[in-house]
Amino acid sequence: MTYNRLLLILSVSLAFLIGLSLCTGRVTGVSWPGWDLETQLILWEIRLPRTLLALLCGTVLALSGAVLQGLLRNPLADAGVLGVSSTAALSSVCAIYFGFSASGLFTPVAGIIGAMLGLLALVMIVGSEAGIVMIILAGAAINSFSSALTALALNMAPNPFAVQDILFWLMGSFEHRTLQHFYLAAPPALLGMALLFSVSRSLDVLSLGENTARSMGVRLQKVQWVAGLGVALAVGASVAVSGVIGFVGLVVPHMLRPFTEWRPGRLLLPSALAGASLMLLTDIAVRCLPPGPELRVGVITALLGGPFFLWLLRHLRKAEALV
Amino acid sequence: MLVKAFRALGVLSALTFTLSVNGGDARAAEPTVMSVNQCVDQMMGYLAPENLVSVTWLSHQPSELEIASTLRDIPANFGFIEQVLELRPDIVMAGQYGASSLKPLVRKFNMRWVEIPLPQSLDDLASSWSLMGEAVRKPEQAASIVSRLRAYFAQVHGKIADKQVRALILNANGWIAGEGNFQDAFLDAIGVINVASEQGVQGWGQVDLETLVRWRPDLLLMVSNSYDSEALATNWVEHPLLKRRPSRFEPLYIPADWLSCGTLAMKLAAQKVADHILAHERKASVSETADDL
Repeated sequence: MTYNRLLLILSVSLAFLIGLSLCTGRVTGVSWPGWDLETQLILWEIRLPRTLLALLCGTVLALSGAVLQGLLRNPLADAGVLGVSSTAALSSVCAIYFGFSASGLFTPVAGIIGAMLGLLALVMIVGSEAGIVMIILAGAAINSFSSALTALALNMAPNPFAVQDILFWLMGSFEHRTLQHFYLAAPPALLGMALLFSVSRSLDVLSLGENTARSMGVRLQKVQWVAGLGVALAVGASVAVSGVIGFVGLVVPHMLRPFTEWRPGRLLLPSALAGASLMLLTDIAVRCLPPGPELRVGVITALLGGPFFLWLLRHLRKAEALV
Repeated sequence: MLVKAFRALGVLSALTFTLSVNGGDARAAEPTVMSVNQCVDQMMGYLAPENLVSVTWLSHQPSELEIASTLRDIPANFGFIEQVLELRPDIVMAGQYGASSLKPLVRKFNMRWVEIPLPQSLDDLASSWSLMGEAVRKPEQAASIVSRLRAYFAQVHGKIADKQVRALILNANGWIAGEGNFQDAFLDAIGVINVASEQGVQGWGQVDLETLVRWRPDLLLMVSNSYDSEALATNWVEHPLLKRRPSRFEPLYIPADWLSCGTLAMKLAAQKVADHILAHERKASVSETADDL
């Protein structure tokens, strides 16, 4: 399949899923929306914010996964696996539940600060020459530690109802999100995405090795900073409004890599499109489940991504054994 | 001299005995109560706050109850047996749910455990108040609270029942009260139709935003909390859709404390609902008259 055909298929699928998401109700299932006032309100006030946020978060997570995998030359790198999403969630929780974000404007900023701190902690722990296993172990440690701190913060929050929000922050959801959440998250997320796309050519060169990349004029430190800032802005802002949704950034780039000639730079745009589609599809799926408390989107992505992650680990072990 | 001294000692000991007997009577009449349930805190706060030696930590949180400051002055507990043993109350009073691990421990130490059932109707509420009144030896005061509530509800019923208002009480996380629930009994008592019961919800149910809009309630009664910080569970009643959807009345916020525990604060809730409905009807009739003119 050619690259352009891949982009066309992904774009058409995404457009179809956007339409399907707008036509899918929590109890009504899939139906064509009518023109009555109630249905129009449901469409604009419930389904549109959900659709836009799923679109944004899916794009951001898959794109950052693709960039991190290219930058670290590590097939297991992903904002969720490395603990960046968890530190963003922890920081957002502290801002929201302890009154630092009364206007709501500070919430994405808190998420971005948390994501930056998570990345910095990872870099400080593993150093610059760490192998795949070391990075994953450090990420797992940051992940569990910040998830535990998030649960602790919610337990200690002045509002006793905060404890009930643990599932949202650890498993993510677009339920009851409004357009205001989208307006808050979109500007930093779009800026972050622009930064991530800006390093695509450097990622291609980096795949030849750091020394070759340097000899070809790539300023490695600058690329790392730009990519790091892009991941922090995009992931931090999206986690602040949707909670932690794992494995999207891990699964999507892997599925698409064979269609992009294994070039990290060419992987970015298809990953962004497919990430958005996957997120929309999972959000549509949770809305089609029987009435009752809504299943968190992150549960479905973890059900898909967990076995995939284990398969990938096994695949890498076999590949290492062959070498 | 010695005789006088003995007489004085006799008078003193008699006085001490009398005082101690009276003190004992007073203690027998006024049993000390440690509450391990927030609704028990509130009910006791209205019935006999002087008997309370400890309330739950939840009653030290911000609240809109008139007895909030009284409850805050009473030491708080987290329902631990160590706290019960330290306070040694005459009665440990609990609700029907929660503190289940504490119950066998309290009984093991031969202390009195009184459980106030969760009311599902006004008759249940009367039984709960009666049980509490008997336990703290204030049955008349407990009965008076129930009769005052019933009388007030009947008064409100007379004012608004003919308006045929279909309302939905919306609690944190989208929990709604259907048939066989105390909030349903409250709406029924004040003459408001409960949309949740109408839709076949039994006991507690959870509603999502789309379903809520399609049920078309005339009036949304949003249960609000006065906590200092936010939570998603309590924030979703702020969803813009709830204010923008077409309905007969504007949504009305009612403090959670007024509705939760069947105390005299329910009068305030009933009054607020009635005032809201009547004010709106008055406004509507004025604008109709203006249109006619």
